[in-house]
Amino acid sequence: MKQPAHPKDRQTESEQGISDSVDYQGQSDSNLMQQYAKGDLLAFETLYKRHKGSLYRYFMRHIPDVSLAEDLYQEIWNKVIVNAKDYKASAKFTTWLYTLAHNKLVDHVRHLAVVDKVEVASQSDGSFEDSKNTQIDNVPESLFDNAIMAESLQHCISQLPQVQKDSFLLKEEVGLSVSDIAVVLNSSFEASKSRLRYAYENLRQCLHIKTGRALL
Amino acid sequence: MSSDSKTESDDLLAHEKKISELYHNNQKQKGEEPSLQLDTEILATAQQQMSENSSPMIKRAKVGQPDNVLKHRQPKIRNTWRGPFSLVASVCVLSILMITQKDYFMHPHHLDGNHVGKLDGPILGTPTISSADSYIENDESAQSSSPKKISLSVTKDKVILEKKYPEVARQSMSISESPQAPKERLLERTMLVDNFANISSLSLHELSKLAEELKLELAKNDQSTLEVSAKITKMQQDLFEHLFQHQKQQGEIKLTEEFLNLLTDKQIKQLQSQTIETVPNN
Repeated sequence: MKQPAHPKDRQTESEQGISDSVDYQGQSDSNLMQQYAKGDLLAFETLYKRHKGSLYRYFMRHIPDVSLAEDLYQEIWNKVIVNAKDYKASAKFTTWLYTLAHNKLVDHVRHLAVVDKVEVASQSDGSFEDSKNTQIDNVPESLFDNAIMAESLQHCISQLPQVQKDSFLLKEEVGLSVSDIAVVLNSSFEASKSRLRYAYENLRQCLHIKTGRALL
Repeated sequence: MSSDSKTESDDLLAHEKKISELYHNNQKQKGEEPSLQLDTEILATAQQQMSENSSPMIKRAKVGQPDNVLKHRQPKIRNTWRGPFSLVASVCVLSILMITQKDYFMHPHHLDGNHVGKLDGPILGTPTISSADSYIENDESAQSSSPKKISLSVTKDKVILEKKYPEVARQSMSISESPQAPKERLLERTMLVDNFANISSLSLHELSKLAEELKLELAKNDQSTLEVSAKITKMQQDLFEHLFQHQKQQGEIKLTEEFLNLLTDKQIKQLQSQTIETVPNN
């Protein structure tokens, strides 16, 4: 007959769990991934908590449709789950994860390009150029605080060209280095660096136009 | 110019920092995160995948049990018929051996080196004189007749071979026979003359009759018993001795097919050499 666990034992168990989770926090993404591949669900939970926000926002910035963005987000995690056994520690987990996400986005954009060909054709190619010229009118000067600046920034980000947006989000949201961005976007280091520069410059100009204020 | 570019780059870095700060502040305020439902779904998928990965092992373990049982059973089923089958096969092989090689099992002492060919097929080699002598000696001692020291190179197999394929037998004899020295041949001939001195000369008709009897015996020889073969050998030898005697006394004798088919190659050679000797003498 199985004896119920003693409260003290339970306490030690929970303490053990805390120490385990602390151990997981200290581990690298690759280790966590390998542990999950071996059947450790806690390792995956830790990994998921570590990257869920940035990946979610990455999709949300790219796709205005929230439900679609969530679908793509879920698909990427499903891919991670399914391919956990094939994951090689030699590849940086973040790079691998965002390569999957970027490829998913590219597929999605291609799909949209085919479906909404007429709609896209009606819009101007340089959507960013058009949008940045649309000044926010009738806004009192007192309201030009950081919150509005942040709102404007989000709008400007959404208007960035795809590659620049990608580079900017990977840099600011995920915290990838230029070389890692180059890997994810499958481009050269110089091209990625240049795209980043253009992204920041475009955002600066957009914010200036939108708010009527210079950042610096 | 250079100072301008430097300030430009500084400005760029400064506005990059400002944008970065602005972006991160906005995120903190918004706190954009996936919904709890989405988290739960993803974690459930992860758990499900993990259990699916481990379940094949469990399934294998569960399914493996009957498999193993089957695997263990199969040899048992095989063993049930393997034993009796191998026993029956062994008995069959042994009985076939007994039937076909009856002579060997019944009279193993009758077989000397020259008769081994009977078991394995015809031997085309020439038997040695000494072995033939011992064979004749054994045979004649059994019949309590006077010993005759003759050179004999006849075996039962050879008789069969010579009967059916005389040309082949002769050729094989001529190939395998080692060239004898003239001295040895002379000695052999004198021995033969001495041995056949007391043999009464038969007429040609009687010789034909003897040959006919030998033929009949050879025909019987298909049943292939050693007793018959010994009889044939003796009859063959008798025929040869009489022919030899007849040739010696009467002079030349024509060796017809009637005799050639019944005599061994050596015997024929001896008779021919006797003829050559007799003709110059005459």
